[in-house]
Amino acid sequence: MVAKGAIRKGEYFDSVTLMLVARDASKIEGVLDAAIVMGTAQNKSILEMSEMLLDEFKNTSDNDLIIAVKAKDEATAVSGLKKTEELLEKSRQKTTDSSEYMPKSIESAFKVLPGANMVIISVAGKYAAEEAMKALQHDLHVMIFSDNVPKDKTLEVKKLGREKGLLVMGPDCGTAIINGAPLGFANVVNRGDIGIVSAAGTGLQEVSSIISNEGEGISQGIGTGGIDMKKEFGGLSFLTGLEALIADPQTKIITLISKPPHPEVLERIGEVLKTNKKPVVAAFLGADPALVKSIGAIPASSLEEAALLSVSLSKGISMEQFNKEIEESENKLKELAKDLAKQLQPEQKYVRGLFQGGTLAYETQVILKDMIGDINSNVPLDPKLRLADSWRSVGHTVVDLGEDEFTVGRPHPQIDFSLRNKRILEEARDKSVAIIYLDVVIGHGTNLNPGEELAPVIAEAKKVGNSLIIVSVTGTDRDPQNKSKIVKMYKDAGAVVLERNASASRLTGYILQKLGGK
Amino acid sequence: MSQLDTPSSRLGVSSFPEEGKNSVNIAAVSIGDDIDLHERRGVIHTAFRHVINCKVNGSLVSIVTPAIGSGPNNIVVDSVDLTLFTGLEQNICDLNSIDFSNARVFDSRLVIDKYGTSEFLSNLNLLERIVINEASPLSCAFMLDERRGSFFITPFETNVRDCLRNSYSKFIDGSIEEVGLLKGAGFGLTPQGDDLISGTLVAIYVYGLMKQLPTEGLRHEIYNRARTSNEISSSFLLYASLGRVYEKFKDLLDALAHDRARIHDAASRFLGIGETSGADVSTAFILSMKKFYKGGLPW
Amino acid sequence: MKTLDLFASELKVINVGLTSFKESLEQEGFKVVQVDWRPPAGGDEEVMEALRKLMGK
Repeated sequence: MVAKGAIRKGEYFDSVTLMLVARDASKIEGVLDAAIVMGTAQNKSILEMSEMLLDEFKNTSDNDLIIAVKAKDEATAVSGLKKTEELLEKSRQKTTDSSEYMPKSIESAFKVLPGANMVIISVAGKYAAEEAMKALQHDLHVMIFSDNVPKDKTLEVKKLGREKGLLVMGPDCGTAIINGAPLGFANVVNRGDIGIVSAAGTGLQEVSSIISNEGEGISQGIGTGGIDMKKEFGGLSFLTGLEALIADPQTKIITLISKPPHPEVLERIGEVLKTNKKPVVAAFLGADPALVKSIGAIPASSLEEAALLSVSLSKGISMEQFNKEIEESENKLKELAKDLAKQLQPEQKYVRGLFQGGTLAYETQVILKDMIGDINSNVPLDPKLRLADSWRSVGHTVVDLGEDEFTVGRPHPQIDFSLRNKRILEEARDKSVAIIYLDVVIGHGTNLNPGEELAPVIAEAKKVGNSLIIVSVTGTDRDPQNKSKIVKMYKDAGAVVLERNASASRLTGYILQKLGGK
Repeated sequence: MSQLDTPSSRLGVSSFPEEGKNSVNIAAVSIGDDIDLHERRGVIHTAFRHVINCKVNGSLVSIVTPAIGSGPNNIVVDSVDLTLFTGLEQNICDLNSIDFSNARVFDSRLVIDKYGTSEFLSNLNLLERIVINEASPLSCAFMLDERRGSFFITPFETNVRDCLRNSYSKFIDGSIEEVGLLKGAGFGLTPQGDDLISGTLVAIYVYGLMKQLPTEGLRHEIYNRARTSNEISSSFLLYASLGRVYEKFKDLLDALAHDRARIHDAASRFLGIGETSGADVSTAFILSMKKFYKGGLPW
Repeated sequence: MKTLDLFASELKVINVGLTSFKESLEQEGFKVVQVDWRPPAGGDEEVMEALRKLMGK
C-alpha cells in the first residue's frame, strides 16, 4: 500500500466539490482510499489513522488543502493522485460557473426564485416521481423529462396534478413550449394563437416548427409524455392540457398530437370537447379518421397536415384553398420522385430509415405502410414485423435509434450522432438499398453541430454506394443551430433535403413505387 | 470589531455613505450589525459566486447574495451573481461600489423572550426528525441516528465519522479540552468539528438566556480553544460564542421558540447552507440543548 | 385556473437535472435556477433502503 499526496495553498473549492471529488477518487481502479480536506491538526491526525499522512503534510496550515490518495502500489497511487487533481481542476471550472450555495432542493430553490411556477425534472427515473410530488405540493407545474419512472408512482403524480389543476408534463416528456420558452428538446418558434397538446416529443417539435415556418405561431405547446394516452394513465395529463387551452384566451386553434389513444381515453377527450367551441385539429397518427371526427375534431393524417390545417384555420383560409395548395405541392413531389428514381440501379429496392425521433419513425411507417407494404422495425406497427436484431436491417427497415437497445449508457441520438453515422455507412454499402432516410431534429437541447457531424458522412455514403439520401430537417431559423446552413451542407453533400417528415416520407414512397416497390 | 458593544451605537443611518466616487453597480439590501462602514476598502480573502469574503480593517466582512442571507458581518446585495461585481479589482474589494442608501440593518442578536420548556423540547424533537431525514449524507446527523453512519463509506470517511463522534461526545460530557481535538476536524472549508462547536456555543447562549445563567465566561473559553488560523471558521465561531447568528439560523431558532408551523420551512432553508454546515450546526444544537435540559451545563 | 395563471405570468423555472435545459432557457432570456440535486443516500441502493426505513416510508 502506497500513499501519495499534494498540497494546495490558497486555493478554495466549495465543500460540495471536495467531498464529491474525494468519493470519485476512491472509486478509481486500484485506489483504496482518498481524502481532500483542510490541513488542520485534527485532520492530519485522521489522515495518520488512515495511513495517508505524508511527511510533506506536516507543516500545512489550517488554510491549506490536503489531497491524499492511498493505492495498492506506487504506480496506481501516482496515477490516482493525478486523476484526482484533474477531477478537482475540472470541478473548479464548473465551480466558477456554479455557485457555492446552489439550492439543494426544490424547497430551497423556491426561496431563491420566489414566484417560480415550473419545475423541470430530468434526474434518474427512480427519483423523479418524488421530486415531482414535492413540486406539486408546492403548487408548481411540472415537466418530467425522465423516463423509467415506476408505473405506480407515475399514476400517483399524474393524479395529484389533475386534482390540483397543475400541469404534469411527463414522465417521458421530451418537449414542451410554455409561454414561448423551450423546455427540454424544443425549437424556438413564433408565438401565436395555435395551442398544442402532444403526447409525442418530436411530434411537437415537427408541428410547432412547421407552423412557425409558415408564419403562424404557438400559444402553448403542452407535452404529456408518450405513456399518458394509455389506458392505465387515462390521458390525465392530456386532459388537463386540453382544458387549459380551451380556457386560454390566447389560444384560438387547438392541435392534438398522439399515437392513437386508448378508446377510453378518446372518449374522455370527446367529453371535454363537447363544450368546446374552438376548432380542434387532431393528428392521432394511424387512427381511423371517422373516430376522430366523432369526438368533434378535424382529423389530420400526418404531423405536417396537422400543422398546415392549423395554420389555415388560423389564417382563415378556406378548406378548398387549403386542399388546392396541398395538391399542388403533392404533384411537385411526384415529379421529383420520378427524377430521383432514374438514378437508381435495378437491384436497389429498399428504404432504410434511421431515426432520432420516435414519433417521426412512427409517422414514416404509417405513411409508407400504405404505399410500399411491410416495413420491418424495432418499433413496428405490426408485432410480426419486429426486427430480429435491431442492429441489422432486413428489407424495408425503419429504426428508432432512441430506443433502449441503442441508448443504454449513451446520450440520446438527437445529441450523439456517432451510432447513426456508423449505421449510415453500413447501409450505404448494401447494394440492395435504394434510399437511406434520415431525420434531423434541431433545436435547444440537441446536438449543436448537426451540419459538421452529418454532412461528411452523407458525402462518404454517396461515395461508397449509390443510395439516395433523403433528409428531413425539423426546426426553425431561430434555433441555436443555423438551419439554412445545415440544409445547404446536406444538399452540398448530395442529400435531398426537405423540411417536413411526412412530405419526405411520401417522396420516399413515390420513388419506391416507381421502382415497383409494393 | 471583535469587541462588540450594542450594535446601534456603531451604525446609524448617518454613517451610510453618500454616492461613492466609483460607479455603483449593486445595492445593499441589508447590512450586518457588526459592520463598521467607516473603512471601505479591503482585501479579498475568498470569492465565490454567492459569497465574497473580504478582510476590512482586520475583520471579515462577507458580501453575499440574498440566497445566503443576512448575518452580523454580511452585506446582502441585490445581485444573484457576484462574479459581475465591479467593486472587485485584483485583490482589492471596494465597498464604495455598493449603494447602501436602502439597506436595513440586520439585528443578529438572539433574543429568546418567553418560552415554555415542554414546547421548546417538543419543537426540538421535530427539528431532530427533519435533520435526520433531510441532512446530506456526510453530515454529522449520524449523531442523531446512528443508522446514518452507513453513509460513510471509504476508510477515511469512517475515520472522520468516528473521530467526530468520539470527540463530540467527550466534549458534551464535560471535557472542555476535547475542543482542541474537535476543531479543524472533518470535511469542508469550515471543518465539521468547528460547526459542531458553533452549534454548541449557540445552545449554551440560548440555555443561559432561558435559565438566566451567566455563560459568557464558558463561551469565551470554548471560543479561545476553538479558534484557528482559518479566518472564516473563526469568524463564525466568534459570533456564535457571542450569541450572534446568521439569518437562516435565526429564523430557525425563532420558529423553534415561537412558531412550530414554520419549523420545517426554516429548517430546510438552514440545511441548505454549505454541504453539511447547516446540518452539523443543527445536530450540535439539538444534542446540546437536550443534554442541558436533562442535567444542566456539563462544564 | 392554475394553468391560466401560468400562461398569464412570467415563466420562472426550477431545473432539477440536466444543466443544458437551464442553459437553453437562459439563452432565450428566461429566469431559471438550478437545483444542486443529489440522490438521497448518495445514490447507494442499500443505504437508500436504510434511509427509507429510517423515515418510515
